[in-house]
Amino acid sequence: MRRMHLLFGGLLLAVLPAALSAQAVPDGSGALDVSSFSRRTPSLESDPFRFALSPHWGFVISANAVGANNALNLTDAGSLILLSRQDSAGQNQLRVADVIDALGLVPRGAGIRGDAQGTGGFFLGGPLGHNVHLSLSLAGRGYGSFFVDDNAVALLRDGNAARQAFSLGDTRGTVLATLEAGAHAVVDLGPLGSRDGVHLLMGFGGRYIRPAFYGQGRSLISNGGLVVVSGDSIYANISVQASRTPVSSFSDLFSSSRGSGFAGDFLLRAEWPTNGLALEAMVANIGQVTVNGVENRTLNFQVATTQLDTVKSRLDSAKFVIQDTTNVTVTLPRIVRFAASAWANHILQLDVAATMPVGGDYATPLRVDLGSTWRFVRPFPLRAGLVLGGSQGIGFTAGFSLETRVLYLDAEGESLGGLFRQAKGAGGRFSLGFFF
Amino acid sequence: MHRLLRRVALTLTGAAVVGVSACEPANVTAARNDLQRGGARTFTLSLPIALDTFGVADFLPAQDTATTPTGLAGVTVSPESVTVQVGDELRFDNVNLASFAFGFEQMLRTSPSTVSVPLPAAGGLADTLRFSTPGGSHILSATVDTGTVARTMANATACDATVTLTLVDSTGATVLAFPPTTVPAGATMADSLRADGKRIAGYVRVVPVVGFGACVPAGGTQVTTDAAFRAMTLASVGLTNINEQFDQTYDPLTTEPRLAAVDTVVVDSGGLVLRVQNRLPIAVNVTWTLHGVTRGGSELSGVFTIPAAPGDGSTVTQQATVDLAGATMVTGQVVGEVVAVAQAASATITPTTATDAIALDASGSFAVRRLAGALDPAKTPDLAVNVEDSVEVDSASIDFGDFTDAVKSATINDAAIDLTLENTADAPITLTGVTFGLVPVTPSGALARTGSGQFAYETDSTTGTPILLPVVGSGGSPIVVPRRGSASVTLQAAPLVDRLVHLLLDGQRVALVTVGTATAGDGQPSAIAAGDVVGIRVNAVVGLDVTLPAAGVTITRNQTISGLGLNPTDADQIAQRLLEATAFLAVTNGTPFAVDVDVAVSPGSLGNADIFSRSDAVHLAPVSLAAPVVDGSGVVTTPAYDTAQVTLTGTQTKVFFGDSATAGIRIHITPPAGSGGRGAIRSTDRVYVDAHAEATVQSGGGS
Repeated sequence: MRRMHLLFGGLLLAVLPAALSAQAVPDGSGALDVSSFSRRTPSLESDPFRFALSPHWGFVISANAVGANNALNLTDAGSLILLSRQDSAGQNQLRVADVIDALGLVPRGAGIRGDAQGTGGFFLGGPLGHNVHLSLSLAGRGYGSFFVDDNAVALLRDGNAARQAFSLGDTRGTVLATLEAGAHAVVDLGPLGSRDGVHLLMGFGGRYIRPAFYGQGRSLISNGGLVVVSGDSIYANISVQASRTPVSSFSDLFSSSRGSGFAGDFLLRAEWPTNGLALEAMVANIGQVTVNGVENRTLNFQVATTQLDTVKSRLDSAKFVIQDTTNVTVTLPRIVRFAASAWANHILQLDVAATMPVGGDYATPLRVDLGSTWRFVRPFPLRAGLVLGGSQGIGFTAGFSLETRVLYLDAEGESLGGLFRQAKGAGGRFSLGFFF
Repeated sequence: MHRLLRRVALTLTGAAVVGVSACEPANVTAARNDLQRGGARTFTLSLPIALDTFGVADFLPAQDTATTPTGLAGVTVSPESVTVQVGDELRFDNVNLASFAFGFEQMLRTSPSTVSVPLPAAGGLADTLRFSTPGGSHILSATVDTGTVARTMANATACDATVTLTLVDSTGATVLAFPPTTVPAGATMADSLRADGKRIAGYVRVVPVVGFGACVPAGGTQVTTDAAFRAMTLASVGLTNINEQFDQTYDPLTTEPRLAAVDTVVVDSGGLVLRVQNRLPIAVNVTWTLHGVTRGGSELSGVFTIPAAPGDGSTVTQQATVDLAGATMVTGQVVGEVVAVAQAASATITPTTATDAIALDASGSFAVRRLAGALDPAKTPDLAVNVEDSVEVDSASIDFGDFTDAVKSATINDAAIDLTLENTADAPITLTGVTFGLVPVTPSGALARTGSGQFAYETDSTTGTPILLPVVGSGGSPIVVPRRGSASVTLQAAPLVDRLVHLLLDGQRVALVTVGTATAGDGQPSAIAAGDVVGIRVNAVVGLDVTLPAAGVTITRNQTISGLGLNPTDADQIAQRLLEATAFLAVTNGTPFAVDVDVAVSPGSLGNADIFSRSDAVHLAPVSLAAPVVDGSGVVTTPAYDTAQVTLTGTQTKVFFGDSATAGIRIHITPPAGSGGRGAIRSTDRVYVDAHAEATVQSGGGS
């Protein structure tokens, strides 16, 4: 964590002098007409305050999602999907050898991890006077995270010539889908000091959350249990729990008996309109959601034998057994983001944003977005940027917006860890709004 | 609202799918190549196959496994039973009751007679004597053999008297003449004369003459002369009004001490032939009664009327059979009684015809229903009976499991037979000379016999002598089974069982035959009845102590094994990735044999097909395990440790990737050195197998 803070600090120090040394927004420049809403560069990740600074009342339909992993690119995923599809004879084409090959793509020592988040919904917002902005939202949100420990794949990837002890390690996976209804407000305390003084925007809001689906898989034994495979014997002590909310029909997702929760969001942003500098700090998604009726199934696999046949028969008989049904309280993945932006010239806005890593079930790595917004035509910004950090390597973003008095259109995509088919992650955002 | 949200969710999901689908390779081959982009790598998997301990019992049918008294692993033979029918064999043959003979010598004896003649009597008084036998038969004529006539003269007068006595018969012949004897007055004098050889016809008239000389006796005084014929024995006699009889008893069992030694005999079947002889020239009615022997509540008896004999000393014989079935003989009370009655008008009897005039004997044989008493075989040899029984041994009686083929070519050196004998009689049974032997069973189910009718026993191939197992107790002593009790004995029967096993394994019919002698009783009060038996239950345990031929024995078997259950495409792919698979064996051989193993494997469950000849068979490299060190009895003293390894190519391993495979296994067992080919497997002997496999797999390396 300290390293990440140092990294962000370094980046900020790298950008800030450029920003401070940037020109003030030139007179007559279209940049003067860019609202806070537009200056605030949209993120491909969750941003509850995105439409709270809408300059006009209107509603927006928006969806964004991003997901990435550290091992498989999109072509790999496509290959697995293609092979998993049944052929004309109704046979699954995914072979054991294909799985072994795919394990070779898992980086040694790192395991395979991935995460994904997405949001989609309706947003209604607009200004209340000059200093207050309000938005109401109705959305669905999803979180997903998985990690397959390197210990879990090492046996079939590397064999057991050099090492005989393996385990599930920290292997886990979790997914949460929620339905939310929120309200957010931003208060513009500014200009402070002078007419051209800094605008201090303070945003706060909350979301009522209803869980639609919850799923989790994890090892019940600390350190993932133990599997020892040697030429003399095979020993295994594995206990795995798979939890999920039962879904028998689509309407179950909306059942009120599934639980509820609440999340709070906070924003602090300082804008210097004259030089175009903006600094922002956002802490969002602080809260918990209680999921009722989570069905827990357990699979225990214990064997200690010198006979391979024994292992085979035990595997054939191992199965998940319903253990109990519990209520689970899920801590939502906190969003801590620091951002800074500045105008390089009258058409170019530079942004840097760092989203802090989150641990726990919905772990996400550090992400640093370096973006640029080109307003060759003021209402039609073009965006391009880099994404640093994460487990997938450098990513690229590109997008555009159409910002008119009545229409708002925004689209952006990102390719993480490579370009297009070679990317190990991807993201996208699409928003369409209409202002009254 | 739900529908709207649903549409949004489906749209987003579809967009994601479309997005990812857009990244799909053009075809399956391209997809596989993509997944191999991780670079070629080779890794080794080392997996255990087995770390196990195998005992001999693991290769034998569980229900037939046993340990011999000598500690060897063994296989049990299904129990067989034979029954020694002791009671049913009891019989008394050639019973000869003591003979009876009695004469009518009584007909040759006279009753004493005395006549007294007082004198003087006017005209000389004479008197007549008529003789009869003691039985009352009148003597018509007789020749005296021995006899004495005594004269007593009592002179009651006052004169000396001279007495003269003459005996004349009816013909006037003088039989005897006493010399004149002077009897003083008042005196009595006596004398006698032998009448030996005198012949008497009819009667005897006594003619006394008394002279007084000059003296005249007073009136009323007399001289009395008595002539007393003492009982005479006649050399021959002519009788009339004959009515002679005798009633004599005798002990018929004096000649049958074997019967006399038994208290009670209940006869099941049989009888006696009774023969009666008559020597008299007179018909005789003879009644024979055997007291102490009852049948149907009545004492055993026989009545004969035997005609007159010629009279020259020869006899006339009659015989009859007396049925003894159901008769009860209380030997202590057995007395024979003969009543003979001879009646005739007249007959001439001489010692030739009178001596042993009636003779009787009885003989026969009978089977016993029950014997009771102080049964002593020394006194009653009939208590020892010859017995035999047989039982055909079912070929399913023994199962050597995986060792069947080895045993077929081997010689069994250790086989123990446990015999449990149950005695139902109330008398101890001693078994002597009892043997077990093997006799082939003919297709008709009969026991094979030689031309002389003897059992055609299985014989020793070297000596040609029958393979017989003596059934004896410890130290070779006969087995005594107590009254209403049981006894047990363990016998070492390797040669017998070896032959039995080989016959059964060859599918030949054979019966276990027991013959010998069973003797009931020990001199103490006992009882035994028909139906009493000694049941012998035979439990055999065949020890795995075998002598193998020098060339060894080959055992072939198939075993179906589970495969990995991969479909053919998966199997092909894995086989291509599998560079090499090696199985490593480390074996500690605790059995006394060297083992060479050949294995061929074909896919599928093929039952007992010949895997080695199949074109799709994968032949594994042969594995050889050395024999351990054994002692002279073939028992392992130092187990042998040996290792082996078998390597397969990836293509060869495909045979294990299906649902199942069948392994044809040829196990060639060779005997150990230093024991003459003999190997004995103890129940504690083990084979320790440590087997693991190493597979080298390649992956990746695509574009």
